[in-house]
Amino acid sequence: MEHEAEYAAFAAERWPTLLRAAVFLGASPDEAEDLTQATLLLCYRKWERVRAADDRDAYVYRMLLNVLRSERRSAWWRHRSTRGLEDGLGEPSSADAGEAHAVADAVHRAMAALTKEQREVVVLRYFVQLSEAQTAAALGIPAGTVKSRLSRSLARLSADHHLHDLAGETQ
Amino acid sequence: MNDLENLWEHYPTPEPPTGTLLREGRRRSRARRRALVVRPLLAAATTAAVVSAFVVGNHAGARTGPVLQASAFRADLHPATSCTALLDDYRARGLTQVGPFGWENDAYPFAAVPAAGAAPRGLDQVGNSATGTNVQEVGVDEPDDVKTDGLLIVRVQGGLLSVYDASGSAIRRAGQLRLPHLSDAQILLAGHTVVAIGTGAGTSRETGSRVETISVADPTTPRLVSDVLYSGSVSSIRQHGAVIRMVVESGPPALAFVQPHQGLSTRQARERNRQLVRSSTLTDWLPTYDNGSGSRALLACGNVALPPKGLPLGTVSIVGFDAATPTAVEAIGVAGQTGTAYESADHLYLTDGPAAGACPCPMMVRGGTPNAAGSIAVPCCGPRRDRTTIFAFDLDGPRAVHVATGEVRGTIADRWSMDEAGGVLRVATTSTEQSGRSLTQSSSVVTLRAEGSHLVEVGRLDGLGVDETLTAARWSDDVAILSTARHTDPLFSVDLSDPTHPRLIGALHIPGYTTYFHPIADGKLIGVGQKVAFDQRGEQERAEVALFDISDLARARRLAVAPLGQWTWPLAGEDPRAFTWLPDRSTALTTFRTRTGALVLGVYRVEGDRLVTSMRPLPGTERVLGGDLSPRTFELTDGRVVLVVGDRLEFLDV
Repeated sequence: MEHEAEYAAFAAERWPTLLRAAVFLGASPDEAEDLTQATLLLCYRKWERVRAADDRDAYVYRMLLNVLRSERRSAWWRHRSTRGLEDGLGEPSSADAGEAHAVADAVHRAMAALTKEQREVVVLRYFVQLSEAQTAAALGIPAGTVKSRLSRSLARLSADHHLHDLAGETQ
Repeated sequence: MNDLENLWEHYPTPEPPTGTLLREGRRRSRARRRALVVRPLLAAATTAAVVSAFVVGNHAGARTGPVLQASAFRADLHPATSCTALLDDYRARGLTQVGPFGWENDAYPFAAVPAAGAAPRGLDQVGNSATGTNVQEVGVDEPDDVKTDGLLIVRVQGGLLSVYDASGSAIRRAGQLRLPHLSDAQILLAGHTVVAIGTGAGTSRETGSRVETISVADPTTPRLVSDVLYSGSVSSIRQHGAVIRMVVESGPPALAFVQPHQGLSTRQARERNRQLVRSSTLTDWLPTYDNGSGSRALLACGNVALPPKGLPLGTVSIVGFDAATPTAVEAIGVAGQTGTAYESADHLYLTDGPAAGACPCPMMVRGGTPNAAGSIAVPCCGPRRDRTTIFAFDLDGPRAVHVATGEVRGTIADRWSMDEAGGVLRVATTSTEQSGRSLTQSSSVVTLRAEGSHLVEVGRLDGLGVDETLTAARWSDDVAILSTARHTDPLFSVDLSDPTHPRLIGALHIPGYTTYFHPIADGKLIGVGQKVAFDQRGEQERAEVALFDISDLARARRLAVAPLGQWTWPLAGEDPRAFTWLPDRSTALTTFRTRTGALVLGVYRVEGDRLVTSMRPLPGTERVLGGDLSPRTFELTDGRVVLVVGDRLEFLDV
């Protein structure tokens, strides 16, 4: 592939945020690694288009959501996620596995108050910090909807105290 | 830093497996290359075969179903016999779709963009609606963020309604009214009543919507007349005279679902969630509205039809009211979510199933938002239900009555894929055929007619654009013009004069595909589209505007083409309201986005077979991405043209 070095740099740079996003969108740590890899492999395959995309991030997060949606529904994925990774795609994370699971559990409990749509907006706009336009493009919804959905979602989260300052809770 | 942010920061991420990704990427691309060796040959053969391969079938579909007599549902939809029956149905279907994480199969409904108009039916010359909006159907107005009665201009922007007097030599602001409870509002204009519809700012219900009416009888002091709240989101808004009709979608209720975690097994979580569904109530499920005298159910149980299988969980409501009495609403519903709504002068058609957008495909984003109205996105995610149910409703003032249900093979991408003429509904569908491991996609034109309570297929033309993607459709009583894109970008003309035998008349193969067609006088057609080329730097895209002569449909010709610079995208494909045809001046106005986000207005005067073009950059638009600027142009009663973009509102010298 042409521009392979560029791809490699891109993949390495986006990996941590994509992975976190997948966890915050509801995936377990193993699932999240799987999904992130699938997304980045899709980027490899479509690298010319990713490069040419007006907005790479909107594009890549859209891919992540697609992968999450389609993979989540197919039964083989459930098998696969319990089996760990196939295709020699690397080892399931080990060192921080315990902590990763604990964090993921906490995240999922906190985000459970939100609908999937709300979760997507919160993750992309608030945590990944895509712009409103990027979030709109990634989700295929009008920018205005991003704004209104986000504000409601954040209100919901703060009502559940998940956005309170850690320090503030002792007050 | 709050606790979720803290978790975000502290989630331990392993090292990126870059080496593995590269290895695996290379391996897969080698495997794919091997599989693709025959592809170019296949493509060439397919292309040559396209024109000869049209098959006209005639499948008069015989469907059986109970015919029920109820006030709102005449056809094969069963109205709920009682509230208990309705709740039982919601719960029973809910139970089949609840899992350890809550609702499964969440259809990820893509928020429809209310409005977005385009040209009226007919390849007869098309003008604008009475309020200055470029609409799909003559006589059916569509919402926009700016409207005019020819003298007054009303605009809503960021929660502020402004009324302008355009009768003098300059446009003068007459009055303003803040609409603090409304966000993302769109407006309609009925006489001196402005109907503003948007999401409720500060409503407690998720995705609540709000309808406010404002009197502008005295333009200096616009006055709020009424304010009605709806739960659910408004996915389609149309205006027939003074009657406003909305389609309101409500998803399944947000019950307090749990998710499995270390202290809760998957099985326990599923059981707990099932229990929540079992104990859900009609208050959870039924949409509500509040006209000021308290929140109550929008739909009486007997006005909700139990849907056929396969409709996503939720409720769709068809709501009608007169702009003069917005608190008195007529509403019927179906206990499921639908996709696309198309409204002709006297019928409403709702289709189930995902609009193309529910199945998002980044590959098809061509400089714009996929599935935005006007352009037709591709259903591109793997195999899924390849049939679409269509519900037909008769419209009688604010009332809607369900009259027939039908089904077609394939998916219907958006409202531009549907058109009704002489009691016949014509739809452009895209279906996928699987043979072995390969999927072939092609488009069809299908004609349907209501026979009794069934919408019956009376004719079809298959094989349009094999392996191509439908990008635009335009209908007249007798003709359909379709554009598809991928390999050869053909423009098809289909003869519909005999609805039982739709016939392909011509296929014009041109580089570049069209995303918006606008018929003008003398058998000519303006196409706004996109040309994609590949070179060593990858994909190159530019917008272009073309003038077609379709007076002889068998020999459609492209008379002239006006390309823009590299990396430009037309807005009209995403939102036809960004296109205006000025018949008296024989001039089209339409806007493009450039790579920096800046907008450019193109002025195209049709002189015989030529397009006389002038491009006018719109300064100050660089920083704003997306369609938030909503550039609009429209003509006043005295013929002067107004340009509205961002904070500017001025006369345009055409």
